[in-house]
Amino acid sequence: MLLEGVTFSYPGAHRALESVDLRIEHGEFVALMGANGAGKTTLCLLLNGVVPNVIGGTLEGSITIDGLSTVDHHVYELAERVGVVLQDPDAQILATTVTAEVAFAAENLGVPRPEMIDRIARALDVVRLTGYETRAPEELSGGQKQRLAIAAGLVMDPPIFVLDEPTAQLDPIGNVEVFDVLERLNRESGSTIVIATHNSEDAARRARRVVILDRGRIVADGPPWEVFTNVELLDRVGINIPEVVRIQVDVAAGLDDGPLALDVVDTVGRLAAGLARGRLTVRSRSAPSAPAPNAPEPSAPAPNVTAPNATAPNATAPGAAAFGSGRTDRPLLDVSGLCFTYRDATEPALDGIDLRVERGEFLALIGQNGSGKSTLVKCLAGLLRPTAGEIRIDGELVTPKLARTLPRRLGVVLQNPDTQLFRMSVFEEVQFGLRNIGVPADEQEQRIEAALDVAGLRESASVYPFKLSFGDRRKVAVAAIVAMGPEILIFDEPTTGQDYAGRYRLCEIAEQLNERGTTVIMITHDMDLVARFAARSVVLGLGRVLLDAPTREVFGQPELLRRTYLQPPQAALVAQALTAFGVRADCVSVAELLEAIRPVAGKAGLPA
Amino acid sequence: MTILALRHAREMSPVHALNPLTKLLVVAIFWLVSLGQFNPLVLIGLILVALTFWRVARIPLRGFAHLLITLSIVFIVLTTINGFMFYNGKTALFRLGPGTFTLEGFWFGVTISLKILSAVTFIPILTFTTPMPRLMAAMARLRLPYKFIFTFGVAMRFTPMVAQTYRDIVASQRLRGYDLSAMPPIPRVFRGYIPIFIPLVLTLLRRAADLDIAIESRAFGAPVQRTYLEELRFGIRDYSVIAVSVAVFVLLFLYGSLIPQLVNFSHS
Repeated sequence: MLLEGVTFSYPGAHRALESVDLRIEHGEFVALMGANGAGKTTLCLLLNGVVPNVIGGTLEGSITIDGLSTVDHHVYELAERVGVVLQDPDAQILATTVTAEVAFAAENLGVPRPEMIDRIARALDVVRLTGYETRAPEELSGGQKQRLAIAAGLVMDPPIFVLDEPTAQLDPIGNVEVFDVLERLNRESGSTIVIATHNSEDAARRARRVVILDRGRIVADGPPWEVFTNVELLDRVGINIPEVVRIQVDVAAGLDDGPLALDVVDTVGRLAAGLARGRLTVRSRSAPSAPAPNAPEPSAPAPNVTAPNATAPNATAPGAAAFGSGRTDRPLLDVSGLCFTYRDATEPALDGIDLRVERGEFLALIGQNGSGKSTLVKCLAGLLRPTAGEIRIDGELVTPKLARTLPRRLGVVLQNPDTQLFRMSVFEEVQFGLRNIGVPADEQEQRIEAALDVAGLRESASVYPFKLSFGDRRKVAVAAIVAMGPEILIFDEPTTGQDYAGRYRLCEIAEQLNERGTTVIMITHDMDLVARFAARSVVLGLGRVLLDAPTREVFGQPELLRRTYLQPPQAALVAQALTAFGVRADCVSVAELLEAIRPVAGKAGLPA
Repeated sequence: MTILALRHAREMSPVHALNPLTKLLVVAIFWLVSLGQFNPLVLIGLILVALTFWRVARIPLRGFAHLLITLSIVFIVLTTINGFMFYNGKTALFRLGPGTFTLEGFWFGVTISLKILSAVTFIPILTFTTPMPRLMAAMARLRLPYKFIFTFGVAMRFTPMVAQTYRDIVASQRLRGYDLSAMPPIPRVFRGYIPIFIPLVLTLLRRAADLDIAIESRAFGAPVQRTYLEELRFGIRDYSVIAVSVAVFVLLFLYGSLIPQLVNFSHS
């Protein structure tokens, strides 16, 4: 792949790519990284000719893929050279069965039937979907759907695969599945892989080259161990830096001269060797745990939109309330023996959930897809009626009648804001909920302004919501719920579809509200967020509570988390592996780990 | 219904094993009978034939009850209108204001209702027992334009997704205190669906853009002779079913034409 001086603009928009020079050789595994709007998707679609042949715009420079100019050749000609996988698993599957989906491209190319059958079998084998031939797309998990999309391209035998954030909407197991398949394709078949991703840990571990885009320009290009060392640049352009890299950068003195380790095992090896020699020195500056500094300003301070009857949190850490002296006789949310079975399902989605949430807590609900998280939230929000058990909010039993008034007490911010936005301005969008729950007109404006302040959207009050970025649309959805003044606020996967900076923005809003007394429940697969924001974590699996404990304790049980395909943050794993050197095992962040290493860093000696 | 059909199409039964073209032919034959006959007994016979196919294909018979319930309003309206308006109505059953409800009109309404029911009852024999790829291949054998076949297939694929998106949107608006089900019917029809349909249309438009990219990226429109994975062959079972169907068709037609009808709908 050869891009020379490529500049591209969409009609009526600013330049999506500017002066891009990029050469990718056969067999490379390249991770494209950059904040939302950096130009990753445009670059991906340029590589298979969809831009500018299907999605028009102004293109300067030249793009040659496997000897073919993308401008002079049709997309169907390029399709045999470049397989494409998009972000949304559902929107790219065209057929009603797995086999038909994989066959589609081969049929279009007129591949003879016997050869087609062979190719389909091979493609399904590579993506490990053999045995799923007659399944319908809606019966597949997100990871399986993305693997199916890979197989659907693979049937054309392309030497190159371009994937635009294929794991952005997947749970951890789906993420692993997709990356495993890509690694296998790259290693065993010699396929060239170009993947746009925000997942820096996987990019560091799996890719052999990382290209960083910032506002349409390539600002870094090289092997991961080299690119990720440039902490200042990556922080500036809003790229998450793997924790193991931050640790090594801040404990640089005393490590061996080898390249940067990119996974936990190698990092532990380097640190252990340094500790054993007694030569480690921890830098004085602490690693930033906050996201990119170049991101837009976070929310404005201090408007009062807390629930009318919410009280300020205890002085103790919010999550401690559920375990220590903070446990009350009447928790704000009390779930007991909750069961739910979907119609036609053989297994219950919820199987006797008991959960107490005290006022002012910040709680994380974690578990893989299918563990029951979403069903639990739907029951709490009154969208599903439990088959057994009960839910009490502030002692009051939630009945079907009460469920109609639930939005006043319990708000849910969903993953996809686009399923609710329909008004002509942000202001009207926020007002919609207030009208529905009968807030008097004279009170509405005050509440709307306060909610917009919390979300940092005051300047956008008159803007048409769909003119905003995805991240800002999510903030509109938050403001719309916050304005209704719920005592309990549930965030469903705040990181979905967000870049590194964006995924923190909603959590910071949640934190702000929590500090003012709103009880927050966050559903997420992102263990970094859990470590940073939630004092208490509840792990769900197969519709049951597997573990309910302070987050530190939860991260101290990596085996249990692994069973649900979750993994503690890298800093926690490194700390646990270094306990023999006297490092505290319960660190959950880079800063804590560095503080834990500091006292033992200068003491020479092998562990006892 | 589409979701149920797609799901049931993957079951195995003698009807599932038939060539889709055979099933198409069977449906066409019995539709002909249904169109041409006004004898209620023949139409009831047709429904029984269709339900026999249902039984063999293991299509749940409660689906027939759903059909009856769904269509009952249409049947009642048809029978009522014909009862009062049938041009050849002679035997008055009762009067309502200036109108007379006649026995002939009543039977005509019932007969039309039976025609509709028998025609509709045959459709699942094809749609509930034929996986979409085989149905599309059958359409290709009938030389329908591929763009039409592809559009049909994609519509079937996306029907469950559209339904799911609709449910998600209803749920997310409910979380903002907007409960469609609690609205009175008239305001619901005129403005109640606005907060649902606008996000639905916008979401589907965005997905359509992704779909377009996915289609183009899979060599759609390549200037080559398209091939098909699905291979449709006629076996003994197909020939037997066609033969029996033709025989039943002839019997029903003869019976309907030779035996005096319960009610004479024609001018006399």
